[in-house]
Amino acid sequence: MARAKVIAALLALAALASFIALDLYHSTFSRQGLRWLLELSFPPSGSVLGIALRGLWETMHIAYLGTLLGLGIALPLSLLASRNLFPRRIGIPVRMLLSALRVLPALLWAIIFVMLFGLGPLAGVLAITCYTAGYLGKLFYESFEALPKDTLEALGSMGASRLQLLRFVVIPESAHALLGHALFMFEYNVRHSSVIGIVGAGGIGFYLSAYLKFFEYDKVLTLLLVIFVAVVGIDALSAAARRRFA
Amino acid sequence: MMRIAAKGLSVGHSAEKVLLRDISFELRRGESLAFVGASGCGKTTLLKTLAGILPLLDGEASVLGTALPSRPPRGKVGYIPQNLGLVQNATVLENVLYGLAAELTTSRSISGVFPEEHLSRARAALAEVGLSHKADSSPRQLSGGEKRRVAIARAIVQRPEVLLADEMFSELDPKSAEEVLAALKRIQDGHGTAIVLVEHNLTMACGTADTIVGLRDGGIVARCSRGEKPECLLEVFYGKS
Repeated sequence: MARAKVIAALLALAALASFIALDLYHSTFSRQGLRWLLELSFPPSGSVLGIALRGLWETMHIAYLGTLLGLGIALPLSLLASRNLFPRRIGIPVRMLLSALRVLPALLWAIIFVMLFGLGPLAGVLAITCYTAGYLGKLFYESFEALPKDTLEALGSMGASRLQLLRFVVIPESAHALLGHALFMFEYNVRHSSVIGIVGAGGIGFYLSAYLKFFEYDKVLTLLLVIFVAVVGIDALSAAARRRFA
Repeated sequence: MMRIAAKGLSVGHSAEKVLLRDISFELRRGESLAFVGASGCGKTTLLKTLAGILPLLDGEASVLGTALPSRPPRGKVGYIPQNLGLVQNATVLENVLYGLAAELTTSRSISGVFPEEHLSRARAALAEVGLSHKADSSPRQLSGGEKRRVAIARAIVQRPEVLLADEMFSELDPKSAEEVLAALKRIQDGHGTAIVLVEHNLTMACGTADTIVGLRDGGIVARCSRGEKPECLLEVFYGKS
């Protein structure tokens, strides 16, 4: 108990140090700024509802395709990266590749792909794919490594090949966990796909960026509300699906 | 040919952590041997070493003529771990079929479709352990004793020449234990399978195996045959009186 108090005190001190290091105590809140923001934002503009829905539709496609492609890349890589399935000389470079894929957030990947492929949803799909592959790959191999080793040892000692162990043990026993991770990732990608359009990678973010540039905050608010409703809906559906299947 | 031969075998988790030293024994076709000892003495480690899962630290051992750590021909060794190792997201019948994985072609390994002959053998193995009626059940729906019998069916479905079993009789009621004992006798006598058991239960070990070997303090302390008085084995658990 005493140790917990010491740790809590150290964390609080570290938080204070961060607060000071970031100079946050010099920040001020602008009431005028808030008034101005509210005046320009309310009421939300109904005239862009059609654009918002079209943008959201494109965002959903980007999130879905990016998640699916990322999953397709993550699954074989994560098997190779699992310490209980493949030797270290294979696992280590694969883990490094997965780390490299997720070290950049989707937004930065989107900037890179916009430079390579131009403006539009392709850059968005590729960005979501890269980050998803890296993130899901890690979640997947951690699930594989958590499998009880008795099953693998028993069938392996009776002559089952590595392919058979993957087919009959690893994938079926991990299926619920993998599905849960994939659904979570889709939820996460819907949120991030909404944003990557700001850098020109397609979806509703593109329109957000345009309206922000011209201070049309009433239209921005409409788009944000549409995103909010969609994300809350997707979160609820995803949670229900995970309870049912994962 | 000796089914299993070990000479001066040392087993453990590492060179610094040797659990058993100088283990020597031989097992012929149709013979059975039980290792008994207190928890933590190295019985499971010894079994895993014979199964090729752990490396041997010293000495020599061969299974079906293949010197460890090389693996004997696929499908010739059956292994039942202490925690059974059943696939929870497969049916009982599928679990038994996985014991025949060594005989599957690559295309069938990918599709997961077992040939009719394998299905017949799996059903026959389930019948031997009295679980035909549970073929479509999930292991989660079974009692502890039933799960153990599924693991036995999986190990014997390929008619192994060597069977390695860890705590075969734990969690079994007397009737189930009798059924398992009978199944073991059938494969031992009918198929000439050499059986190595690891047991806590001295009574079951003495009732099952031709030879009982007691382990304590890192080595063999007692050895007796079926029919001999097992008092010498009490030293394994209680020390010298």
